[in-house]
Amino acid sequence: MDDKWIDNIRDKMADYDVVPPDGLLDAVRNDVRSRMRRKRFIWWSVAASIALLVGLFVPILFDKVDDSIPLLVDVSDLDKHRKKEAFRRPAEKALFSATTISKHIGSPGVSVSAMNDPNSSSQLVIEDSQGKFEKSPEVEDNLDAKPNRGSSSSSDANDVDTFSDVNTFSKEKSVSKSSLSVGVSASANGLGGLLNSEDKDIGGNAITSSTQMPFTRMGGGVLTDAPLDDKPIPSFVEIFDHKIPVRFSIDFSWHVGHHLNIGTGLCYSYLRSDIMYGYSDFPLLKASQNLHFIGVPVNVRYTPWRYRKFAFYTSVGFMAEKCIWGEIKEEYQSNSGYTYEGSDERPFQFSFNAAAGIQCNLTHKCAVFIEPGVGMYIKNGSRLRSIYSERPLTFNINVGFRFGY
Amino acid sequence: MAVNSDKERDIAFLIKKNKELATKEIYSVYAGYVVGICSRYLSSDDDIKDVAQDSFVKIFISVGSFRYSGAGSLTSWIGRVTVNCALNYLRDNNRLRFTSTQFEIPDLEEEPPDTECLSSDELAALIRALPDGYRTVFNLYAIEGKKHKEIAKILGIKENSSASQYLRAKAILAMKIKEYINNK
Repeated sequence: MDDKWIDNIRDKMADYDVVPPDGLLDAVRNDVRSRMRRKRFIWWSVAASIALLVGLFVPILFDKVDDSIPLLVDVSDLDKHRKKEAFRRPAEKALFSATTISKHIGSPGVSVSAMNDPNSSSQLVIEDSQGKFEKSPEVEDNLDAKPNRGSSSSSDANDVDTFSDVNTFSKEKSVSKSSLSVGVSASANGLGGLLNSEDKDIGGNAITSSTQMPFTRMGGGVLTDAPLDDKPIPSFVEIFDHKIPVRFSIDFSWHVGHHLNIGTGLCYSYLRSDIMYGYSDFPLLKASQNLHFIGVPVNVRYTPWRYRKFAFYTSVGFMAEKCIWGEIKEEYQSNSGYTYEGSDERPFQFSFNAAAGIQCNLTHKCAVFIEPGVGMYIKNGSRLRSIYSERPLTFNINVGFRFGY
Repeated sequence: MAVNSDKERDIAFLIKKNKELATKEIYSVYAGYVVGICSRYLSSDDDIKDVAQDSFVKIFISVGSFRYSGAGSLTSWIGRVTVNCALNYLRDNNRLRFTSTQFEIPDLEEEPPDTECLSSDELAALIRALPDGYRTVFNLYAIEGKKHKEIAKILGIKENSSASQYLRAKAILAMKIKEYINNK
């Protein structure tokens, strides 16, 4: 077939003009104005979200264990907990060995006080609810603490380990401090509780049953500056400062109905806690706990309402996480920090999540969303203390992008 | 479209100086051209208005990034934006289907139709009467001058499909032109 007629059509169509419909220019102007407004709103929202994430995340990156409070001891050998060394502060002598103190940490029923005897040298007493339990040797002697099971005589120094008789503990309860999380979780103040047990001390105050760290031995503290005057002895505390957990995830979801999506994915969570063991006036040991979790979430998302470029939705889901790595770093005044790498426990952590969110379509393939929600972390029986165990019910906020294919 | 090259240069200059004024000038010069392109790709008046509006919105928003590169460059750019809007519209509304139609495909060896006696409006109406898929391929190949390889990439089909779709479109259009002329 001769294609000259096609060329003729091409020539006529190349200059083909049609009178534009009425109101086209006004419609174009209004559309341009609203798109520019929306574009500005989207970019400001994205900038604000990034600024919020950076502002909350950067302090974690640069946060260090506080060195401003000087530690009192220079621990040189913590592995050998039976080693009977005196740890020395200038012009002072240790009253108890570090391991002796550490053994008492967490033991219910043990209190530490000073004897205010002007005629004797400074002495410390470790006692239980039944009376004086153990008396430190006088400073000059520089002897190790000896256990005293109900009698005033000292037994062999090698028996320092067993304190199973005691059953109450007079130190202050552990304090878990946590703050709002960024990226994913936020602590819910007042929920989850601060106490792990119903034990009470002599004074009837609720206390925690302190658990030994699952992958470190507490052997770094020595009481060398016991108050000798009339001031009350500060209580022994262990403080967990749980930092904002950070979570990054990649999710895949599939449309299964008009309003329903089912999704799964992979996520990485980083939990950090700063720990301080010691007295409220002076710390004995500072440590930093870092936990790394990998998790697989499963979520169902329901979108009941869409309006132009916005979609409002709710989601519920479940996540299984595994601690893939944990480490604790202990720091001492000597600057020769100890690092115990690897954790004894790498527990699973299961949680349920619910959220409500808003999604805004930036293009027809890309959307930005913000999604506040709650997470409920199920007890896993692990000895690891983290924001998951301390605050099982947490608020969280997710922001991110979704890409459609 | 035959726009005076001086006019194009003036508009390109105005784009840098006063974008608001430039968009007004672009609309007054190219509105008919844009709607004409839309009416070649779309059959419904509502669709034509929607796509023309989308096209102008895109042109006005991105006019600041246009770089004048000689006579006809502004017209080509506006034409490309409009064609892309029309294709996206058809794609998003699942109207780009390239299956066999209810039309009986005539013999391709017949005598070519006489298009000299037909006006642009009549030809445009006959092209609009083609099925969406055939019409799109015909527009891209016969009027925009694209190769089948390019068309296949744009539409996400095979090159052979593009060629066969065009042949069928040509045959059906020829038949329709002849019917129209006979009935006139």
